Amino acid sequence: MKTAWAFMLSVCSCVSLAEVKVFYTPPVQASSPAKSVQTQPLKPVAKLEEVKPLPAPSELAAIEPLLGIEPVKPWQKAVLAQPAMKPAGRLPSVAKFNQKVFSSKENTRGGTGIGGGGCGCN
Amino acid sequence: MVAINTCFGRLRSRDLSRDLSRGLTLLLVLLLLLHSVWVGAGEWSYHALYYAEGDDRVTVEDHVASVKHSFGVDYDLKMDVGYDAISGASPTLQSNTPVLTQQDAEARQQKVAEADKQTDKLILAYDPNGDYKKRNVELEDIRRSINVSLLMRDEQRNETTLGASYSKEEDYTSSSASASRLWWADRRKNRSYSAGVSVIYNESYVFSDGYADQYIDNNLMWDAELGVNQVLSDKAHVSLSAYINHDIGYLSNHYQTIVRGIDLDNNQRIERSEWLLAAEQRPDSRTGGGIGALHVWQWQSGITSQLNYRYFDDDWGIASHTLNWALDIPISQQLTLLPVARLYQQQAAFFYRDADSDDKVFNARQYGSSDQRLGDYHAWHAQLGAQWRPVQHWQIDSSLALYQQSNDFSAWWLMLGASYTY
Repeated sequence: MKTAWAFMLSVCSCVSLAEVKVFYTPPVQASSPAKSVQTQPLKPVAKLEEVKPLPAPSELAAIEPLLGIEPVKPWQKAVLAQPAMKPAGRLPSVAKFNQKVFSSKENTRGGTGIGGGGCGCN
Repeated sequence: MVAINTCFGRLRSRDLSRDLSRGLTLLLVLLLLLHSVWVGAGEWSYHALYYAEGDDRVTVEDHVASVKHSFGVDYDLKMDVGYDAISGASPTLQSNTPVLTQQDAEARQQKVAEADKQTDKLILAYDPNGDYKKRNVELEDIRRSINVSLLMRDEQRNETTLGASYSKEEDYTSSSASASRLWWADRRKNRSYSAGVSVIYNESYVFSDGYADQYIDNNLMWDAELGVNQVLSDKAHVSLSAYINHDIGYLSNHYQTIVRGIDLDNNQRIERSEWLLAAEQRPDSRTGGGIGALHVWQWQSGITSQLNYRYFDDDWGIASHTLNWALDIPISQQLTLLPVARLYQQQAAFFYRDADSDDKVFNARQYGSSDQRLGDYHAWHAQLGAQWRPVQHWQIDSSLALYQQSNDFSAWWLMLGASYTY
């Protein structure tokens, strides 16, 4: 009995692990003329949330050259993505330690909070 | 009895299933974390700082362990825990005439009691010669801190960051929360706008009756900042920001002392024998703000320059300019040198008087502080850092900094650390 169960189990495992192939057999053409069947339009399974695209390039593109701004494409941002180009630099922990000392020995508050956009690679 | 046993049995089985469920949840969370670590990207790091002030004043040993993990491309979690050990001495005004007899001590206490009747300010001591000099008062403290932040990106890659932090010292506790948002202005992500707000709640022990008694006081510090970042070219970008802050509550430093002149004999004149040692008192609110600019540019040689300017002004009369210039100089594939130069200039608060000057005496009612940090001075800071990447994934960081203020305060600090990226 145990052997039979083991055999069944191994067969089931093999079936479940085996590649499943689906064969499509076209329906046999009937000799009678084809009937027109009204079909329902396909309904989407789930409504995808529409994301409003951002302007590309920028809305201020006309005046950007006057401000010395060059249009930069995403694939030209290898340098901008480097750690050295980030506002806190290559060693953010050093910048943090320095800031700790300056804020305890000087009486200026704020102005170090928000990092810039940088490359926008993520 | 059977019923009771059954009841206990059910309870036990309920406890067991609850424990099992907790265990499974914990296991699931651990597996998820392991999975995230396995498939995600991030960094582990540990940095240690040794800080020492000139004239054998304060020394600090600071240790920070950090972890940063990216869950896919939509979530970045950062956490760091810190441990600082502060020891040494801090200069404050003290009576320079030693107490010789019990009678002398009682006479001084009598003067303090008389002064207390004429002012609501905290009077600490009396020197019959009016001789108050700055002396180093010993201090020792341990600070433990934790910071957590979570960055989330939406479909348009706009970023929302939520943060919280907590730190505790023997006589000071600080808790903070922050939220910031970054919006991209164009599809190429060449310009972004940012806005952020943070609030800090601090509690500190304050002397209430001479040095004899203490109570807990608190303050609330609000910060808000707006910024814009613009990519200028494929090797340069600039950030501009404007910020405001508002502090309310107990903003004085209870270790700092001043000299107050109180007309003890009511002759409408303050003589030297009427000078008393008092606790400093700053206004209970402070509103400030300023602007900042950061220009980051990589030159043709591969050297990156970061030039940063900040202006600050507040209703205490403090105005400051900060100019910071940092370079990133790649020496080889493994080694990068990081020199930094910084200049700072500050204008004094309206209630500040230098403890060493002849004009150091405050009256019985006005705000007053002789804390050098509220004074008029400029400072320079020079630093040389290095990052060495001996093998893939590992980096060793080091940095040595010197700091000097025009009021003779000086300090240096050395930082060493290592990071592993995965």
